[in-house]
Amino acid sequence: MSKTSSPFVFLKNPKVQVILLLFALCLFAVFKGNIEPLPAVPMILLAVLTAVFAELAVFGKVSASSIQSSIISGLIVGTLIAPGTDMKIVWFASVAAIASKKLFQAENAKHIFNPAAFGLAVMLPLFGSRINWWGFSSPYIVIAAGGFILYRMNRLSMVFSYILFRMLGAIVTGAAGFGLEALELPNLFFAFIMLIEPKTSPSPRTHQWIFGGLVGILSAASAHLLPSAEGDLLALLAMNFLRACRGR
Amino acid sequence: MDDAKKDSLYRLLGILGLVLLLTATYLVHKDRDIAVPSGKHDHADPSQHGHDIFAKPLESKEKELVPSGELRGGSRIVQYEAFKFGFSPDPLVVKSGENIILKVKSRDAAHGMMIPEIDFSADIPQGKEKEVSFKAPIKPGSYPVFCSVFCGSGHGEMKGTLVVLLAGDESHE
Repeated sequence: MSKTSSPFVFLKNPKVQVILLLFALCLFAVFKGNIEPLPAVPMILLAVLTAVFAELAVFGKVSASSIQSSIISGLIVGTLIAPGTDMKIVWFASVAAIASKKLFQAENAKHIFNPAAFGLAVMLPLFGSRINWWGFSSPYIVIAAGGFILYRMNRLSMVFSYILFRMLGAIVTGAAGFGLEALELPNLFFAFIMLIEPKTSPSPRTHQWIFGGLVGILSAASAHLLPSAEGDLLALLAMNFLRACRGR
Repeated sequence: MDDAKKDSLYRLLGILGLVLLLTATYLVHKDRDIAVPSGKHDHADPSQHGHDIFAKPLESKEKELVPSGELRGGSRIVQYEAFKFGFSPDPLVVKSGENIILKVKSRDAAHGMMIPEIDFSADIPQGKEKEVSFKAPIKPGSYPVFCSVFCGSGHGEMKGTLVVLLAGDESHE
């Protein structure tokens, strides 16, 4: 007897799930009234389309999975830049994010840096702009949906490690709130969506704990020493680089 | 068609798409220059960009607001504070085309203020007053102000408003 596949089988794909999660957060931000749809929606569309076209321009014929990755990168870029920011900056950040996958590759041909983090960390200071994390509209959506996705991907250890060491780092550096800032929405979003990118972070559980923990410590140190820098992104890029240097 | 040709076609499609998007972006934001913090280009002065500015039309009660701070030496000087999670005064009320000098400080943590529509962004450190300046847009209206430095759980909702009144209407002063 032949087995018929469900029409919703694509929903089991973790990348599709992340796309839906990001989409839900954007919708929630707009409908909750935090964000005016007019600058935000075109910005998201531009970021996503630019990332997809950049993927094609840089890599040629690519798999559906690569297109899904570029959509995720575009959505992250679009939800971090403040609505109303010059659209050219959005375009450049998306292009830089995808181009980094080609420009910085490890020996195994995997990209070294988290694309969205790279695009934003490099382009925004260059253009004198800042990120705003506006798309991170609901901790409940992030934790519930993000937790479900990461549980299935066996990547929750990295999130726990990051949050734990981010909290410890904040306590050691004397930050207000007894380290609870690690549980705030941008940090949660960063942990559940950006930190765990499979190609730029380790899979073995022990390595996940080390990687997440070091990102947490670096991030807390950055928040203490350079409060106006995007500490999470810089910490992630630094660990991406160290991981590539160690060949893991 | 062989794989090499397909690959070239996809690359061409990608490049064309990128060019089209950049062109569309350029046309929408015609004359809006990218702000390069080089010193030659005053990032805080939208008159140097000369771009179209999008503002929400003022509501009737906003038109009655009194400009914030005081006029001194041709500039409007305003004490402007950031706190978890808002700005004071809010709205910040100025007149179109005025030179604005904000004496910014934070009451609690490191914050930032960003008015994307006029490409203005400044960090507001904790514990010390800092002077920042920009030129108010020519176009009256209300402009959103965001916090640009992650400052805690309410950061995403930390917003303020810059209200720009029409210059020359002396009924406010």
